[in-house]
Amino acid sequence: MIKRIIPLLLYKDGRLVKGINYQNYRDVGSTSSSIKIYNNQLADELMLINISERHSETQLFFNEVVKKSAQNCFIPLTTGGKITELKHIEKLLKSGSDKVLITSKIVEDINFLTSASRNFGSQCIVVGVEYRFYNNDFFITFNNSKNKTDILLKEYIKKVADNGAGEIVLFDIENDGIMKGASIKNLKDWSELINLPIIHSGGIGNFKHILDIFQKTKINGVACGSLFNFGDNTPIRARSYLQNNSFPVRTAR
Amino acid sequence: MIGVLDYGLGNIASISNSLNKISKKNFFVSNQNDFDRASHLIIPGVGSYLSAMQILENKNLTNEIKKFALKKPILGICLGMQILSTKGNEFKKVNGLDIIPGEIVKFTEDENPLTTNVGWMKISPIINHKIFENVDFNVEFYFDHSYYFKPISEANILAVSKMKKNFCSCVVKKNIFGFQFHLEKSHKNGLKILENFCNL
Repeated sequence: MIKRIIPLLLYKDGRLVKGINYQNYRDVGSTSSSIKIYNNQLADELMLINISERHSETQLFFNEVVKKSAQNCFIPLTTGGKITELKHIEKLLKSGSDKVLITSKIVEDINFLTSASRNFGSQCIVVGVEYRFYNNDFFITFNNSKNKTDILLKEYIKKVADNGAGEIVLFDIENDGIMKGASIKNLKDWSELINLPIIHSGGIGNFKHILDIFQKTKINGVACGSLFNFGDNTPIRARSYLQNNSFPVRTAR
Repeated sequence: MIGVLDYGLGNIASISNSLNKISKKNFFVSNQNDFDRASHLIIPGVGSYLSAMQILENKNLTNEIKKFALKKPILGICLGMQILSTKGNEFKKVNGLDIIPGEIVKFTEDENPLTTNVGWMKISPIINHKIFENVDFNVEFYFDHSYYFKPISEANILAVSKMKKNFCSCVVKKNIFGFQFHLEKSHKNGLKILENFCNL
């Protein structure tokens, strides 16, 4: 299976942003024009997450943003953030999403995952997993890392896989926005726990970081924010780099 | 006008956006009276086999689809392709529309080490069909599924794709087509097949 490079777009109160450790956000552009550009750059897939804090930026408003952006998106689009009800999923799909990302709600209620995948098919349900290191191990956090839990990451990965997840995105909160690469050893361990596609997000700062993850672990995709937001990098150049290093990529043209 | 079946599930907006992009007028088919207005019918594809068939039956749409299939072109995408079969096995055994004889089965570990096949993959045509006119087979299409269509007759296999082994990724029976991958999300090449279908 060809591994995927997925630009990660964070939507906050009307604009796209990027921060460090899910704080201190900087403006990085408009949603619909960014999506149009990534589409033209033949990205493998896109992930758009609503992290709005203003009261007016409700689900309804985000649906409109998705609707407008999806008109120029002919590659797979995953959207999510603040999903707490099945009807939120239906609305996002009706607005032009192909898959939905659900994170915090599933930490609180694993049954929500089961019913979401029964209703919409597991292939459509992407489970977000935020984690941090504390108390000498990796634990699940949620709500953009504002809430800590005593749930072990390894246990949680297996649990969501058993309860209907189609794919899993691991959000390495401590490495978010740092651009210094990821822990290959940990990703190798975690990607071998289950036989579902796992996407890594957090810390990717150059194409070598992506190549290392793809070559040395079973991680199936990487979601990159800073890499594409800051600097001259595009999905096309990322693919060329992998190809020049003899790693199989899409023919995309 | 191209009808896009709206049964409460599925990425119908994605399909509609793609049809708009290739300048094909389209509308959502959501009840029995809408079928007559459609020249072609697209059955989109997100959801589970079980819930899709339950909804179609509750809305009395199964017979309408079967009637439509006797005279006009139908295109099933992903789950929309799978429910064209005789039966599915997602959650439990479920009867399908039975338009193209066959069964929907899960990948075995021997066929695919991951339970889901998500990502870009090539297809190899078995039949040289005009729906493939000007399609570039060196370019990948976007797949996202854990079950696949096993037709009873090899004559219905339009194209295959390769995991560890080949599996059927496109089916055809006269004016009825099923594509396991998402044409609407496979960039220019996918839109080309969509356009060819609309021109049938």
